[in-house]
Amino acid sequence: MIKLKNIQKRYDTKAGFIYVLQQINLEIEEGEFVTIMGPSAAGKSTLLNILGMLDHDWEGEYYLDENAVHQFKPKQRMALNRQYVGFVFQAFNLLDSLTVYENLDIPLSYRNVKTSERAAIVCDTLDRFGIVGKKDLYPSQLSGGQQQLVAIARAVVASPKLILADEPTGNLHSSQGEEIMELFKKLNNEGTTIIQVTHNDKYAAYGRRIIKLKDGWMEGEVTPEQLLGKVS
Amino acid sequence: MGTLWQDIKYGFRQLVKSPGFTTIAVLSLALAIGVNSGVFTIVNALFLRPLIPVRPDEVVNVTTARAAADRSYRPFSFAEFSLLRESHEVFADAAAFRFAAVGVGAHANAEMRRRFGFIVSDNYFSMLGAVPAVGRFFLPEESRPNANIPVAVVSQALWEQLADGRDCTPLEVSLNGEPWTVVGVAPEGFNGGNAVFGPDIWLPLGMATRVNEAFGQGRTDCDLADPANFALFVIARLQPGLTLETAQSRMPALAVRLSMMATDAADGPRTLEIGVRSRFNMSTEPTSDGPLLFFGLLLLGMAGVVLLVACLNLANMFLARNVTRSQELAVRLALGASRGRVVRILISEGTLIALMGAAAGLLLSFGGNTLLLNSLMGSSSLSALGFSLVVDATPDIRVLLATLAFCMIATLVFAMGPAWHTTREITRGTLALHRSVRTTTDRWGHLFSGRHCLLMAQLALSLALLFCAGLFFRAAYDAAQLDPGFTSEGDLVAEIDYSLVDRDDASIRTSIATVMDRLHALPAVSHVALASHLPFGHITNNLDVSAVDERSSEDPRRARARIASVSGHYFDTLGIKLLRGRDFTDLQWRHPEGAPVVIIDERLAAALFPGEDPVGKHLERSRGPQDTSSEPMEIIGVVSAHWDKVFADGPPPRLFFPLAQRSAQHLFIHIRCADTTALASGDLRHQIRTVLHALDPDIPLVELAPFATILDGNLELWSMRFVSALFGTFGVIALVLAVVGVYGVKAFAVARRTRETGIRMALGAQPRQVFAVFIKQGAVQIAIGLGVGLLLSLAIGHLLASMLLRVSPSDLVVLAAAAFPLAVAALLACVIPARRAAKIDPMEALRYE
Repeated sequence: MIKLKNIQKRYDTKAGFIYVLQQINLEIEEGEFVTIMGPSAAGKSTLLNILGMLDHDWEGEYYLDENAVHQFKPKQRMALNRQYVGFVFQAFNLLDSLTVYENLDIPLSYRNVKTSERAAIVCDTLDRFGIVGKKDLYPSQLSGGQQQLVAIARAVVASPKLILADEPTGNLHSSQGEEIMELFKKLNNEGTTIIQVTHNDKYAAYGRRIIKLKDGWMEGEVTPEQLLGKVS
Repeated sequence: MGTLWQDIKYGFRQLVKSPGFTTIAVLSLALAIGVNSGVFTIVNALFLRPLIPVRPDEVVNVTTARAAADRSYRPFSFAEFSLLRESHEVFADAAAFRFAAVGVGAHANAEMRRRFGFIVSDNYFSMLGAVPAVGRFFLPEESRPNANIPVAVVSQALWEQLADGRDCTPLEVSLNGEPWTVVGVAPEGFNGGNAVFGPDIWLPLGMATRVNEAFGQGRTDCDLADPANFALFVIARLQPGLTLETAQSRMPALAVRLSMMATDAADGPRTLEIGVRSRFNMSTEPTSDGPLLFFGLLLLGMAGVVLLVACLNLANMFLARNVTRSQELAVRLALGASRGRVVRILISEGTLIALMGAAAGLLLSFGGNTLLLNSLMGSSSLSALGFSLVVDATPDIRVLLATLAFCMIATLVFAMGPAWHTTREITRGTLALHRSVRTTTDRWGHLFSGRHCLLMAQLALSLALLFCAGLFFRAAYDAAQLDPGFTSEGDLVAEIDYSLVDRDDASIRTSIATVMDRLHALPAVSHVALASHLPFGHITNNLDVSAVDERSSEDPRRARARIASVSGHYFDTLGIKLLRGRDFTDLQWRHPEGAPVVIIDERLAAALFPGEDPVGKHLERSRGPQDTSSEPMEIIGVVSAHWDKVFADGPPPRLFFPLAQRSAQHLFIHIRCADTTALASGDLRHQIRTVLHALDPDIPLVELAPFATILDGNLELWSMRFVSALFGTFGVIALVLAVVGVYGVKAFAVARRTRETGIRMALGAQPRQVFAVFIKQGAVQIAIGLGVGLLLSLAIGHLLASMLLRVSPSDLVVLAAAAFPLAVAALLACVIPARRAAKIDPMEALRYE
């Protein structure tokens, strides 16, 4: 589904080029659950932004299914983003002035889904995530876990093939974190490809592959078992 | 004190660091405070500044009316004035005056100019608290009836012209071609108790018979010794300590004494009334300054709205600026500064801006008022009448204090509120040490946040101001478009005032008839006519007339008609239609011996002879019960109605006499040109002057100008144009401030909602959709603001209804014309920030977090 060849991103400064990502080569199959790990400034979020086609300023080749993203113009990339991608952020990034219902409705409205269909999809998603009772509340009236639940519901409401989650449990306590990860696991089992960035080994192990980044380079790839030390 | 100084220095540094913000803030306030200071200066000059330097509250206007139901008021005779002057149980003193127009020249052969003057009693100046700047005022013997001592007192301005640098009192001058002596000079700014116009010359009552009455008709043998000569206006100073109410309670007793001596006692007993003096009118009837005061208050109110709009704008600017400085302010609080101290820092900046704005505003107001007064003298034909404008628009302590008050109010509104709000938000933790701010408000909170409410209020007030401007503009436009019922184009008017030279009626008739014949012989001239009054002129005279009904002498129909004495061909010359009957013959208008005939207009015909043909019928001057002197006049023609005033519901009923049958010394010659290019080139005017001076070297030609130009200088039209321009200025200032406000708020909203915009983009929003979000919100706010403004406009419109003629106070065209540019300008002000939002890079926006 995703094929990256020699992806690199750099900033041009007075002191010369600063590389944020270098020589990233990666393939991800449809239906995979991949975790990206690494210390701060390793380039994890940058890679996620490139995969989500929010960042257009990079070099290399990026294929998403049959689409050569690197050859696309920003407008075409955003169209592809709408077709493929759902985002989940560490800070939830719900729109504070909209209710839960309206937050779920927003991605559909940007995809020009008819109003009647949107209502059905949103109600279905609310039901699926068990947040029907919260539909008229504003984000500020929800707990962190509830907010992230809504954020994930929002990410999947448009039925994306790919969910990109940037430290989705970073702002949650452990029990809430586990609930969220179980939800990702369930979505993945239903066929959605998930790529998450996390610092937490336990949550990272929900992925079937763990990609390690350091200083913009891919250090390697480990399995969950290797990560948790069950297999040397 | 030290910390306060530190705060001020810090505030000054902050303002210097943001020159753009400071400049916009100071300019906005300068405009708003300038408008307020300027309007207050005029209101101060017209309504507040004492016109009488010594105990002004004691000076009252004295009037007398018939006790009967018709309450007809009239001036006082000299004998009646003397009675009042000696009535020390009520009055400490009483002074008399009447209007006069005199031709003033520096010497016998010098060019003469018409001046408006007062003929006054000897105590007139002392009663008004004036002391002579040079020389003396009048002596009692100079004010006795028929004293015939030719002395005069002049204003400072006239003194400077006449003395021409010489330091001499008394000064010999020429008045109406005769030698007079100027014995004194009135103090600078002496206005005789009138706030707007004042005379340049004062003459003693003893010279009343030698000087003609201003605004009068023909010669008046003004023998003040005649007890039936009611010619004097009276003002009086109440006894010290006597209240107006107590004095009024003593009036009936005095009125009985007055009625006993009045020569018209047979008409019924008279009442005596005293009241507060009008600051604008000199009348024999009690008058109120209420309508003008209402207008002054309205102007102040409108100027206050401009200040409010500017303050709302600045409050928004300060709110936005405070949010961007929230990190710095939070650090100050974290370092131990009290909330009050932080508020003081923010208010210091506001106060500095307000003071700079007030200083610039004061200069603007002074410049604006100077322009206004120059425009008033330049645009109106008042100068031709010899009036002097006495409005003192120099800023005094009251103006300075008011400006300081505007400044303080502005500071309280635009600096205090935002400072308090910001510090409260910081202490609550809503604003913290983050670069961006997470809003926790709902959609309605976004729409009706403090800033947006201020914005909507600005738009509403701006619409109301623009609507008011539009109403007055429309009224001025309609007034200018009004069909007056006569044709002014191609008509040249020569104003000749024989009251300025000593001529008898026969001599005037002979002279003017020759002038007419010679002017008619000029090749470019097609018609020539004479009239004692000019339509839309400053001087009007009315006469109460009754229809003479052969069938019944009981209860004849009465009407008050505007009168004029005219020559033959007057109606042809002015393009007034002769509807029935015929014009005056040469014999009728040139010779006084014929049978009395008149021409009336259709309004008077409808009033006196409804449904009948009035030609051949008779009318007469309405008589009192004892009056048998009136002679019936035959109506020989009926002409179409024509207007006389802009501020009127319609044309007045009119009555025309043949010129010879009614004495007139103030004449207007209408010279209609066959070729209008001759009029434009000025050649014709030169020819006319040459003809007039060749026939009569001393002819008192006051003005020679196209009728259209004279009409254009009409004071009512000027005031209508002035008000529409003034309100238009208010409206445009408010519009500019509102647009700047909309832009500022929207730009700030875009900056604040960068994160939200980034999220929307990350969720798949296209630029046009982000653009639409901001435009939609702006449009809703503009619609709400204009909706509220619409209601406000309609309410204000109804408040102004009494001042608007022929314009509906809820005129939809004006409303649309005011709302449309405001809506478009405000929407355009939203476009730039919305476009900026549409270009936000989602990755950058989310990193911003």
